Amino acid sequence: MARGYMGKFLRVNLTDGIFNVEPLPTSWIKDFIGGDGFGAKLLFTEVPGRIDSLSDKNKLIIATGPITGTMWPMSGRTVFISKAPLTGIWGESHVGGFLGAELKYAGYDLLVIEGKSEKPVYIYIEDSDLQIRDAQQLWGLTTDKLTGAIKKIHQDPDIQVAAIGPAGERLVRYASVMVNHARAAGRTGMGAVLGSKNVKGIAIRGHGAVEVHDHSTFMELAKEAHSRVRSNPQARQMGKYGTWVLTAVKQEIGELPTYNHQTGVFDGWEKLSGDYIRPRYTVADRACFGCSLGCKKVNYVRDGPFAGTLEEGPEYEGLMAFGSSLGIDDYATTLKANQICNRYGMDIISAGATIGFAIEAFVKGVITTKDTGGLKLSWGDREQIIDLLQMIADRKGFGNLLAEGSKRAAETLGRGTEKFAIHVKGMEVSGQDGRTHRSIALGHATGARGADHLRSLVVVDQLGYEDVAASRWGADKLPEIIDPYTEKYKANAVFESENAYCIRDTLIVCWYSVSWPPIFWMEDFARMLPSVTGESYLGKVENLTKIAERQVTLKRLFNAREGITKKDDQLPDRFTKEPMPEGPGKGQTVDLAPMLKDYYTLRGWDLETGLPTKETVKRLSLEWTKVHSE
Amino acid sequence: MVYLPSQLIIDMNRCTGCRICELACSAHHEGKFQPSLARLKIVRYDDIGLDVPNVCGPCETAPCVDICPVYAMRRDPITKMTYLDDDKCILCKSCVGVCVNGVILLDTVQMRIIKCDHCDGDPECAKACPTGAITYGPTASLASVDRHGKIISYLKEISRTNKAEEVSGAE
Repeated sequence: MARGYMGKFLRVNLTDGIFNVEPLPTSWIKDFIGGDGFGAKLLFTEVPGRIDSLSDKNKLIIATGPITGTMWPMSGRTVFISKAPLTGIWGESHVGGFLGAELKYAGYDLLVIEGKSEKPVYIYIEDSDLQIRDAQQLWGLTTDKLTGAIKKIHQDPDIQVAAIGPAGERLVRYASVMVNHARAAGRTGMGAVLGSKNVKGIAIRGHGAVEVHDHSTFMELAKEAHSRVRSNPQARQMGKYGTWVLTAVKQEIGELPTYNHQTGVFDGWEKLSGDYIRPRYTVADRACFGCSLGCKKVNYVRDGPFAGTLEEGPEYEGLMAFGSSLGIDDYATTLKANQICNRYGMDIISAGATIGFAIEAFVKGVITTKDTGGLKLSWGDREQIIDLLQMIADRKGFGNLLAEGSKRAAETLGRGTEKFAIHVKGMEVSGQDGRTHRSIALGHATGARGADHLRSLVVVDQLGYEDVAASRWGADKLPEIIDPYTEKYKANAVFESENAYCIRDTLIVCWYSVSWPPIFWMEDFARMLPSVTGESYLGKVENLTKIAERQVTLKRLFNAREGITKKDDQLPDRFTKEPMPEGPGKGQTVDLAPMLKDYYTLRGWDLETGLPTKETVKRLSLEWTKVHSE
Repeated sequence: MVYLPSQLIIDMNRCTGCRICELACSAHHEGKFQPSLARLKIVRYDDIGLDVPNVCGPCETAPCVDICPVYAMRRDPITKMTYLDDDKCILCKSCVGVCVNGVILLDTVQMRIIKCDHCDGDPECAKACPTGAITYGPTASLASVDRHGKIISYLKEISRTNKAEEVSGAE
């Protein structure tokens, strides 16, 4: 077994109540590296097509990579993988915190949860001590209380807990899994998968070690990598303000989603920017495992209706989802919303977007108080929005409908409300706008899990890194490739970014240091991986690129099995037909077709169907998928 | 060169709880990444956003030296740092139990006491700490009131708003 791995994966069958420790197939390492890749291979092979995401046939995989638990910067991340309750297609959600490293110290690279328990349980893993424990007394607890309760039961404050809250229990379609109180595996509804299996939490404690192939070489590389992070000016900004720095940047380029993505500039943006928030609210800086950047902020509200709120976050996405997107220019409201999302276990992006959908439909007179159960919705009504969020978590009244996500809610309401549901493939659009940032339009349309900003968001064009773009993609593609208002070369940028991010997600390292600020790229991983694994094959960028391409195409095949084709690679009409009404990008719309054509060509997918061609499947050694496709 | 007795000094205001120090410590002493064998420990309070680095020393008195029945633990009279003589140690765990910072451990796999030795005067944890929360230098170079400002401001804020239950998560 290559080093860096624990060489084992752990399987929990809840139906039979048994654990199984299985060897990690060595062939997976060269084909998939780890993390996301292992998860894709396992989910494709073991979960049949077109099953219900919330049935006992679905599985939830928690995966780590070869550098998880080592000293490489930002390598403490973990991924939850399953067929997604929100979209019914490929689902994955990455999370920081300390869970993944702890799983490896306990001796396992992956944890696979399958079947369904009859009664509420939590899974307890302490090295080789494996238990499925009764959780009937814990059912209904919020995630913070559950984490505390499990630590108390086992008398060990160092247990790492992945918890679902009441929203996960009630199968809110975008329920999250919470780690370390405030780190969310938010998107696509992984919490609902656990809820459907009656699993309240996963508690892990490990005492073992992660060993690498060449310790001294790896340590040299890791220390150098840490000093690159520490000396990077944008990383230092991130350490101070977290992702709040983005609010000002987005406002400046006209890409701050406002009033449910109707426009890209927001009058009250200053109150949602880092300069404003930090001196008024921030009380502590925190970091995830092995991170020298430390972008997490603990904040405290001293006065106003939400006085006394002490909570970590929210990130830029939360500021957008419960700030500008709902017309709220008040940080305290976003913090309160973040606290409810954390405690009850919900994705703040989808929750905010679904509320935004309802408000727009109401304000435009398409739905009425008859639909909302008497609520008079309006933009910027802070307390009502917080109440509505609580109703979603409780699945009470109108909240019960919104708990299904904007796509399903629009289908139920009908009357043309679909045009207010800003989603792709059922997942609500994150805090970007393709009209003023053309590459994200392609990323949103083609993302394996729907409107995704984490798998292929090109940052170098949006933030104008001319030198980075030139070195990555060639100076001949400038200036078009960093011009956010043209479709030209955007497929190249998305293709190459998506490949690099795929490797990022197999290792697993954080978004911040790879995607933005752009510190590490493929060649850095190729330099480091042989010292960890001892596999020289992983030391070449072209091999890593092939692994990444394999992964993107494998997820595409997974989605194809669920019926996804080119017709689903679309954007809401808002981005393609409604010109940006104001701001620097005034008048812009997205012309998706030429970008899609370029992207399919680069990926080796059929231009008519959007599905991987036979040659591509063969080139990437994915013929085995046929056996598992209908 | 002027010789100054040095200690590990912690600054709670700066600690982000990233645990890089634990990784660096185990990487240096064990040649692998194993925080459970690190000679220091970060205690993370996720509910109030506080992280406390627990390191060896500086101690006013040295309970680990006082309790050792076989005089295996000794204290440097100038630096006040304590050191373990493995050859004399009988693994009775008295020092493990008595250490106020909880940073002396018994490794039950190799059956040995694990204790910080300041990496012979060049501690890895201080070098690896990205925020300066752990530094190595002469004691009293930083007033403790500055170092503990984070928790003091918390306590003030909590008593002011009288929301103690909500903040601490206590029932």
